[in-house]
Amino acid sequence: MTGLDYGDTERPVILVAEDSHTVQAMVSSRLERSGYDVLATDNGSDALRLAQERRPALVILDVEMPGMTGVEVTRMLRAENGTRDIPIILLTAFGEETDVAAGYAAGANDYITKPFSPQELQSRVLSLLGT
Amino acid sequence: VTDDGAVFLGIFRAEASERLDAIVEALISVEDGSADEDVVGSLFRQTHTIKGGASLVGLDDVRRLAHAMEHVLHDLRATGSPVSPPTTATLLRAADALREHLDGTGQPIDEVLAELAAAGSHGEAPETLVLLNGQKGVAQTASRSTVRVAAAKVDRIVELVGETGLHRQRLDRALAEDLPAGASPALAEELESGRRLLEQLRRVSLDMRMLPVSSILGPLRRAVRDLAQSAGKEVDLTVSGAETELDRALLDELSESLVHVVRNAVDHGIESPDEREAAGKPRRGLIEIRAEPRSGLVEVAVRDDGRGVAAAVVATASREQSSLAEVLTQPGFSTASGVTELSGRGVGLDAVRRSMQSIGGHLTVASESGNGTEVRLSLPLTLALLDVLLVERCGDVYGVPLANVVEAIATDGMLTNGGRIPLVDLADVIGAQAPPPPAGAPVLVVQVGDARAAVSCDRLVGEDEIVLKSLRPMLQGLRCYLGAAILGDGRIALVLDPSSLTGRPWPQAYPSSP
Repeated sequence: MTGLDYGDTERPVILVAEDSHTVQAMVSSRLERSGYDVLATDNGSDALRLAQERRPALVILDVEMPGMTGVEVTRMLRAENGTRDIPIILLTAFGEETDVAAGYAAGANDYITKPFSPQELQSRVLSLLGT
Repeated sequence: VTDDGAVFLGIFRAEASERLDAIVEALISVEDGSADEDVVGSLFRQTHTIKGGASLVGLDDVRRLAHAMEHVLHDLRATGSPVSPPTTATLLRAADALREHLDGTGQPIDEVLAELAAAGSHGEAPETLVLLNGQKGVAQTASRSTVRVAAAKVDRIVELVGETGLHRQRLDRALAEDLPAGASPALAEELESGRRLLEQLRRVSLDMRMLPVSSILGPLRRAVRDLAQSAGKEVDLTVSGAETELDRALLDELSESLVHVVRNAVDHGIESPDEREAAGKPRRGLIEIRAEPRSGLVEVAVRDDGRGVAAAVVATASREQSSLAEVLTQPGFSTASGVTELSGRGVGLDAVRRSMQSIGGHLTVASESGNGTEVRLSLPLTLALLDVLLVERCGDVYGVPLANVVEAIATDGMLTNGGRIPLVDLADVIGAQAPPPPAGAPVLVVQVGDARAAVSCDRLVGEDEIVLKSLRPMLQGLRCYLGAAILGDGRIALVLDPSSLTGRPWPQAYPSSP
């Protein structure tokens, strides 16, 4: 995925952690087209590390991931000074309302339920980034 | 957006297919007790991920199936219970259905969904479901844990392994020339482990092409049934050794040949029920097919308990000192002998003989008049690699399949074996003009079926395992070669069809004992 050389273009970087390659590809493609650079990973622990190292403008986390769940990653990001204020959107599957509650409790800003439309994704991202 | 849709659908199919492989593998590990501790968790995540992707790309049946599977796994994970055999079977069945829908060949999924719902709501599926669906599910999925690959790709791997082997031989030679033996023990050790790895790779890759004989029996059973019915005969077919494995390419040839032979047995061998009864036989005829591996070959015998080859034919064979197979496959044999009942057999057998020869196999026939006929087809295990004995004649190297070489002996012109084996000069077989081999030159005793020949050449080069390359287009007119091979030293060896050495009458007799 792209997003590492944002020095000269100054495109905001969004971290996407999602273990489904399909979802990852769709989300990334939409975000890149909307003017963002995307850092993508398929597991929770890499998401945590990348968020700490890269300080993205926004983090999109799948709730159900191998290693560490999106809710756990959210909790860890909120516990650290450097990542405490990064907006977080959780991706949940239909019917995972309990996860949503846990996600909000951990500090997530918003959630999107799969399946979602690209427009929906974009509007949630816009409302959080305010750009 | 539509283009994107197709792209994402492609990504999803590939991803879901991989995840399904992992799911099936995990479920099978549950069945055989080798599952990881977190198998339920990982199964849950896999189905969950498939569900998410399916919902995005709009494959609704896939999504519903994944969702129902996930539901079952979710409950198991929540209660910490192990996956019971009935639930495993149900999940395997659901995985099959899911894959079909992924491929676009899916059947309605209501039944599977109901089964999953039952497994989920009761914690366990009721016992009846096990009997109805469990076994079927498992059987189907056993084949699902396999990967479908284009045959050409497997062929290519086998070919590359063969070429890597040749490269290895060249490397060994080059090293032996440049380095004195024992100069580098570390290098020698590495070379040895490389050799072992290559050998393993060779076995594994060849194994991929092996299929059991049972894979070609379906049409055969059908053919026997249909033929018997239309001829008003009653025939049973028994098969043993169906698990015997053969190279896929050879199975194709075998399949056609077997149909010929079995057709003959039904048409011309097995008598009508009344005729059998009159001869004191059971009304139902019996055809037995027996496949068994035999020192580098596979032998497939088709035996019937019918009327056998006419005594006159057996007498002809004995008079002409040829084998029954030779007489029966002679062009025009049936009309010449006036045994009209055998016409079909002759024509069919000729085709079978040629087919067997084209793959380096052979055909023998044994028959007892009144009591039945046995046709034996012998095939090499694989076409790709062949153990050969390399010999030199007129400055060129030739290979003879090792399976057909009885012995190699040095002659001193005083051979004693009763003069029954014809002596063949290899130069005559290959059509070369050359002075006879020097005294003391080696002679190979080659055997094909019952026929033997002693073949003289200039020099024995040694045994080798070669990659046989087909030369059919180039050597169409020349029946005496199976193909060619590139040797480790870069030379090309033509590989002789052993039946071309033993299969025709040779004018020159083997010198009789003094």
